[in-house]
Order: sequence, then C-alpha cells, then structure tokens
Amino acid sequence: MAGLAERRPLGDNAKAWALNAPAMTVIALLVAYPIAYSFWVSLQRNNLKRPRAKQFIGFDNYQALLSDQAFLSALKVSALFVLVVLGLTVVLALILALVLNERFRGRGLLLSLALLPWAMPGVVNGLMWRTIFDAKTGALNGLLTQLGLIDGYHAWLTSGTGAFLFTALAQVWNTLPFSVIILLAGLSTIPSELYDAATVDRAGAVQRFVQVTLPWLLHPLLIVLILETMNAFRAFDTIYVLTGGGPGDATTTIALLDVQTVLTFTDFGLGSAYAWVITAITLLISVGYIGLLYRKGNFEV
Amino acid sequence: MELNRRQILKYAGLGLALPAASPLLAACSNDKSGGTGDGSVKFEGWDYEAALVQQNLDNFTKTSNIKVNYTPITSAQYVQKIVAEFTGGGGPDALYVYDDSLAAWVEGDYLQPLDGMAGVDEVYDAIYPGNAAAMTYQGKRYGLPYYTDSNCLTYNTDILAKAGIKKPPASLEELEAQAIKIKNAGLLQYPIGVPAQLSDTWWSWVWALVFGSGGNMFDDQQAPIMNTTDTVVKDVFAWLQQAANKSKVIDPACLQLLAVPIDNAMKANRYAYTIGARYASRDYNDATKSKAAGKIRMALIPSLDGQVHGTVSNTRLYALAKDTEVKDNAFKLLTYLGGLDADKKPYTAKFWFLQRGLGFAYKSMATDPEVTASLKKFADPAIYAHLGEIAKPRNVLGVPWYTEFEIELHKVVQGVLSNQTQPSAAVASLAQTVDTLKKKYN
Amino acid sequence: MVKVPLRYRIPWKKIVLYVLAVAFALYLVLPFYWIVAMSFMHEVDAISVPPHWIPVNPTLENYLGFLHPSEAQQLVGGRAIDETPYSLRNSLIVATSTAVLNLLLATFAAYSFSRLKFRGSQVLLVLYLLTRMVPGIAIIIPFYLLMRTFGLLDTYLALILSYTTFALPITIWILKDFFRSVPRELEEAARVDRCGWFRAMWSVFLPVAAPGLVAAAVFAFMTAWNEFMFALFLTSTKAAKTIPVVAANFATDFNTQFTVMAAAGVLAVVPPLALALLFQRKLVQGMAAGSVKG
Repeated sequence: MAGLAERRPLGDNAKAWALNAPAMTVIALLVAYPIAYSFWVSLQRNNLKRPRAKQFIGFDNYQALLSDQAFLSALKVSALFVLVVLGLTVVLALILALVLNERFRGRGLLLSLALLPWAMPGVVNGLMWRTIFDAKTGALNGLLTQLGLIDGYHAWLTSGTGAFLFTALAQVWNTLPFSVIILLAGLSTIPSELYDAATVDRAGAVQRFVQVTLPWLLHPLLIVLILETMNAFRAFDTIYVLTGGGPGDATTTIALLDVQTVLTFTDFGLGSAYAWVITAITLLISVGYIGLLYRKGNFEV
Repeated sequence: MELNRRQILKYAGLGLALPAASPLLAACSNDKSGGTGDGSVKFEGWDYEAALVQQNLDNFTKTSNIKVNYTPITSAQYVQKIVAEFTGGGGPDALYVYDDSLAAWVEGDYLQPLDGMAGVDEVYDAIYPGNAAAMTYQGKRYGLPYYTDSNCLTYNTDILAKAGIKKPPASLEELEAQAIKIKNAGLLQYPIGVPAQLSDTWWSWVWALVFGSGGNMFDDQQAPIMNTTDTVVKDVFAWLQQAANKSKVIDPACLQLLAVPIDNAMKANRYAYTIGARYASRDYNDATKSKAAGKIRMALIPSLDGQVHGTVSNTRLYALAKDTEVKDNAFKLLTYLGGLDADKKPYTAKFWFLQRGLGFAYKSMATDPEVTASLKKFADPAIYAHLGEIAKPRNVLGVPWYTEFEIELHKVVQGVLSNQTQPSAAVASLAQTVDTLKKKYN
Repeated sequence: MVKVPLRYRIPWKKIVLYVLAVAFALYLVLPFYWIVAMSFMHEVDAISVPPHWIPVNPTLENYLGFLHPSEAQQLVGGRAIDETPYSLRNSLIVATSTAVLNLLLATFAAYSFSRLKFRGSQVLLVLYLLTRMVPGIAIIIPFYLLMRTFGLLDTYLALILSYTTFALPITIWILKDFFRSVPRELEEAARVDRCGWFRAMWSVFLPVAAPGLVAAAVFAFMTAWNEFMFALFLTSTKAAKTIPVVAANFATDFNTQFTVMAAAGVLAVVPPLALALLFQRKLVQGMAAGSVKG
C-alpha cells in the first residue's frame, strides 16, 4: 500500500489491485485450481473406476470428439436448445419489459409476478412442469381438454420434438425474470426527451422502437445475450428432472451428456474435455457478441 | 503410524490442491471418516426405507455395542456419490452395492474380498448359486446378500376378469391379444405399463423379456450376440414396437414414467399388466396404500413361443471398503445385516422380507413357515419359487462398460417404443455400441 | 385523415398494453398457481380428471406434515418430508451468507473498475467472467476433493464458498456499472470534508449506491438458493442439505405424493420471492444505472 502516497497513476494501479485482492484470492483459492486441474484431466485417459489405466494422452480426448456420435448429437441438440431458449427469452423479455416500462394500473403486480420464476430452483421448476405436462393427470391436458382444444389426454413428452419444445418452454419460464429486470432497468434510463423528440418527428411506434429504444438497449441486451447463452448451454436441472435427456437423445444436451459422462460413466477425462469445449464455445459466442457491439461503436467493457 | 491408502490419498489431495498452504489446512481438517477412534462404523446405503434401516441398526448397536454412523443417500445419485467419496478418499467402511456396480468398484479399489473371513463360506453355501455368482468377481467373494429379486408379469385379476379373461398370458402374442380385449371392452385405453423414462437404474423389464424367451444379448465371453446368433432380442423389440404402435396396448406415456408412477398406476387400477420385481406385489396388495389390494397376482414372464420361460434376477449386497480402519467391527455389521446369526438364521434378510417383501437369497427361507405365511398374503408361493429358480443374473455385469451399455439400451428401446427405430436397426446399433465401448476401454 | 373528436378515439395503445399485461400475468402465474392449488389438495383430488382448479376439500395436511409427519407419511418416503424444514433453514443461511460475503468482496473489486484506471483492468474483468464459463461439472470433482481436504464436506461453509465464487463475477459486473453512475463529485466533496477514504466510502458512496448493492445481493442470493449440483455433492445430511437437493429427492423417492411435493415446491419459492418483492423497486433501479452505457 506504499504506492498510495506516490504519484497518481502508480497509486491507482496499486490501489486497484489491492481492492481486487480479496475477490481474486477467493476465486484463485477455490476455482482456479479446479479449473486448471480439470484442464489437466482433460488431457488424460482418466476413468475413475479404472485408476490403473490412467494415462496422459495429450489431446486425444479432444480428437476423439470429432467422431463421437453422442457428443455430436448432444452438441446439435444444445445448439438448437440455445437458439430456441435464447430467442424466446429475449423476445418475451423485451416485450414484457416494454410493457412494464409503461404506466398502467396493476404494473406493480405484474412486476412482482415477473420476479416469481426467478425464485424457483431449477429442480423445483422441473418438478412443477412435470406435474403440468403429466400424461395422465397433468394440468395442461386438463386445461386443453376443457377448452375443447384436444379430445383426449396426450403424452406431451414422448415424442422427440414434443419433449424438446416443452423442455425449452419450461426453461424459458424459469430464466425470463433476470432478462426482464436487466432490460427494464435499461429502458427506465432512457431520457424521455428522446421519445418526445421522436413523437414530434411523428415517428410510428415501430420506428420509435428501432430508432430510440433499441440503440439505447444494446448494452443490456449484450448482458442478457451473454448470460442467457451461458445459462442455456449449461441448462441441466430442469431437463434432468423433466425428461432425463429422452426420449432417445432428443433432449440430451451437451451439459446433460457431460454430467452423465463424468458422474454416471465416471469418465472424468472425456467429461472434462466436453466441459472445455463448452467453455470455448461460450467464450467464442460472448466475444462474438461483444465484437458485434464494438463495431456499433457503442461499447466499453 | 503406518500410512494407509486413505491417508496417502488425503495427502496427495492436499499436494495437488494447495502446496503452499497444506500444513495450515491439514491442521484445520476435521476428517471424521473412520478415524474417530471409538471403533464406530461409517455405513452408507441408498435411501430405501431409511427409517427401518436405522431401526435395525439401533438393534445391532444395542446387542454389539458397536456404533454405526448411517447415512442414507438418494437412490438416484447413489452410485455417483459413492464414486466421488472413494475418489476423494473418504468412503464409508461398509456399504450397499448394486451387482451392476460390483466389477467397477472392485477395479476401482473401493472394496475388499471377504474370502476366509468367519462365516462367509457358510453364507455362500446357504444361498442360491445365482446370487453367489453375482457377488463373486474374478473368483473372489465381495459381499453378503442384502436382497435379491427376479422379475415377473404382474397383473390385475379384477380387470382381466371384467374382460372375460381367466388365465394370465403365457406368450407375448397372448398378452397382446388379452390387452386388446381389455382395450376393446373399454376398461383401459392402455392396459400395459412399464417404466421407460431415461434414468440411471437398469430397466429390468427389458432383460426379463429377453431372458423370458430364452434369449440373451451376450454370450459368456461378453461378446454381443443380439445382432447375430440370438434372434430373441430382435423379436422382442418387434413385439414391443407392434404393441406400442400398432395395437397400441402399451401406454405411450411410459416414455415419461419412472418406476414410482408405474407403481402408483398399478395401485390405482390404471394398468392391467406390468413387468417388474416380485416384491412390488406386496405393496400393490397392501390395502393401506393401494386400491388394487387383493387383486394383484404374479405370473411367469410371457415368452415368444409360450413354451420357454425364464427371467432376470438382481442381487444387492453389503460390502466392505478396502481401506476401512475398523475392519472387524464393519465385518460384524456386515454379518448382522447379510449373514447368519448365532442360531444360523439370516436375521436381517428375514426382517426385510417380513417388513417389505424384499426377496431373499437364503434357500432355507423358502420353507420357513413365517416366510411362507407372509408370502401367501401377496403371491402364489409356487409361482414365486418357480421364478426364483429360473432367474438368471445378467452375464455382462463384469465388464467395465456395462453402465454405458445399459443407458444406450434405454435409448434404443425408447426408439423402438416410439416407432423411431426398426427392430433390426435397434439390435445392429446395440452391437455397434458394444464394439465402440470395447475399443474405448482397451 | 378523418378527424375524430378526442374522446371517441379508440385507445389502441391502452388496449394492447392491457392485453399483453394480462397474457403475461397468466403465463407467469398459472404454472405456479397449479402447484399452489395442489399443495392444498388431498392426493385424490390432485390427480383427478378433469382437474379441480380450485381445491374442493382444502387441507393444510401437506404443510403440517413437514412439522409432524403423519404415520402414513413416515412410512412412505418420509425422509424427504422430514428433511424439508431443515433444508429450508440451511438454504436461508447459505443464501444469506453468500449474498453478504459477495457484497463484501465485490464492492471493493467493482469500485476499482469504476473509479480507477489501472493496467490490466479489462483483462481482469474478462478473467472474472471466464471463471463462470467453465461448466460446473468440470470442476465439481476437484472442488469436492478440495472441500474434503479442508474437512468442509456437509457444512454450510463449503456451499457458501462455492456459491460466492459462482456469483462474484456477475456481481462485480453489475456493481461496477452501477458505481460508474454514482457522481464522482460526491466522494470528492467528502474528501474535502477531510473524511478518510473508508469513511467517504461508508458514509457517502455506499448509501447512494444502495440500489446497486441490493440488486447484486439479490442476484447472489438467488444463485445460492437455486443451485443443485454442488449442493448434491457437498452435502449428505440434513445438517447442510439445501432445498433443491431435497426437492430432487421428492422426484426419485419411493412413493412420494404429488401434493406433498407441491407443498415443498411452494415453500422453496416463498423466501426468495419475498426477498425479491421486498426489494423490487431497488432491484430495477440497481440494475438500471450502469447497464446502458457502461
């Protein structure tokens, strides 16, 4: 801390690192080692039930991924899952945030409701939707039958497409609130003069949205995109409880396969390689988002 | 003090973790496993009837003065958690083991053989050979029996009677015909239910159907035969496909049902047939829990030709950890739970049968009057015994890739049930899976 | 364009707004309503076809069972029921501690990013986030070994520490954005008053930054409250098991009743929901400041 007394730039440096020291220490002590260790393991043949066969094999685990059917299929499912969940989340969250940004009676109530799914642990979310989608006694079947939309109870989760879509819907419900809050927060800071100016220009609602709202929302959207992509890629709890990855491979996402590989097949080496591929993909996508916004000249980390 | 493997692992863990800080950390470690010094035994099992287990353990402590720290673990994550504990060097002293996991856990150095310990030979002489084989790996004996069971066809006599059916089916064709009859009588839309949601536990009913028709997926060298010399697997798949998609007698909702909801449906008269463990019938026939009480019976597994019969059995065992520091006490606990008591009676095995109907490995229990009296309340003793005699364990449990194969089997069967996969493609893909797994594990 | 007198103009905007609001309200509340309704039903009514949307013979049995399990409940899968109250307590302690510890650590770090120009700041920010991009499953086994080595298995501390590391990167991001929106002049004024730096932080800066702190705390709380996988591995008894772990037990336990499961689900949602509602206004404000221009 001696630097504090010296000239400003140096002082800032020392002070900044000192301020970061506690957080960095905790992260370094607790996560850095497991992260480094998991990368090291990903370079090994390392199945926990065969300790004697443990061996350093370089990048063989990664190379094997190229012809690993289970992995490729899971990657495809995950990509689709991220696309659907992310798309639905962003669109729904944006509309809901726009609604909440208006003044109307019951706004407070709606905001409270919008926070509700956030409070639900993924496992409980899975259980809840399981009772709703249940083929024999589920609420969805009951509702649709009473509304006359279907003529008998369906087993919603038994076809590949059905299971996939309903799982994605359950996931979206759970992850919506966080995005809504961030977007709503962004909206609430838009100076009303901007809208006034646009109104004077007689811009239509759509035009106003594109010209005023959207540019202003780029930064919160970026946060939503990065976090929700990360979440959707690693979605596990809800799917695990709802379908267990089935039928067949229809909802076996890469995260689910990874957990299965490490914990059920005890293949720690391969599972770690999976995990690092997921990390690389999320990182690439995040960098992509940031780059995209950078080009718009609107971004500073 | 001698360093044993557990301690070495512990220090290795430290070394890996934080070289600089290790002396500090070792001081604040409060590792309790096996090291409390009062000879207490750390015992873990999956959480089936944990309260009853505790009650039984209390009884053990009272008579033996040995303390037992019992931790029940959620059954769905039992295997994973035990693997994590042993990997970390903090496993229990004594534990439940699925015969499915035995080979892997021996290979992983978690367990020690019981050969030569007091009373073990006696136990192995007193149990059925199939159970003895399931607890033996590479010539060594690793466990004392917890329970064993074989699969049967379970049916609801009331529903069958309403459809004018007098006898349970002997062949699969007959099963389908009867189910159609029930369906057409408007009694049930889908008379047959089996648990077919993906899970980490084995699908006994698939193996039961294959063994039931005298087939097998593997020969005795664990080479896959489901695609070559053995046609039963393919024919069973073809039957499943037809029953699920053409005659529509198997409930399509099965693909999202685990074992518990199937049990509940049987108890609520919502299925006429299921295939599962014999002991489930006790619950189905228990009036305090089931609306179907008194109506549920068991039969042999229907086969392709209706002549051959067979079924699959499983064995759950109590085993001893390799690194236990309280070996004598842990073995005493094992003997109390899975062995014979001072009167040469299998005390706990009988306790479980009388309390919950769990199948027994001890031959003598079949003629025990108390046991037969209790059995008569939920099953026909002759059929029950017959199933026990013809049951075989899976002959592929000794391979390191068994779990992977089982999970793949579930996915393939789901494909057949939902008409996504043809039977011939299904068996071909299973054989292919075995090939890939074998390569991976060499 | 035809001129319509003002009072006859159809308020399209209002209509669209209310339609959307109602649609969203239903979408958000109906699924939850269903498990709330089930939690007050008897098992028979909960699985009836067609469903009873309003409990016909409402009962508190499912909730009271957690305090005094009935004989029948004790017989069938009583463990999850028995563990529910403990797991709620554990979850509360773990999530609250995580939130507090997170604030403590993140405030300092975030302050440095918002106020100081220093070498490596951009890299450090991305590094923080990078630790969150590695899936938990990759680090769960080494993490487990680490906690075992420390003798922390089945304790609150293991969970608090792991959740703190999970939440830290995001809370730092939320907070540094918020802090930037706090006018610099405030601190400078305090300095002129000869406050020490810590005094200035404590008495001037933090009160103004309160909404951001609330948002960060709620975020950390939710992260801890909802996590399943690490809790599953790091805990084994009711001394530390959290609510998601016990909820998962309900899914696999032998003979679980739908209605009891629903009641447990409702209980699992109430504390964090109460927290979110309590701080609702500050939550949005807190997220608001920085998230726009960085």
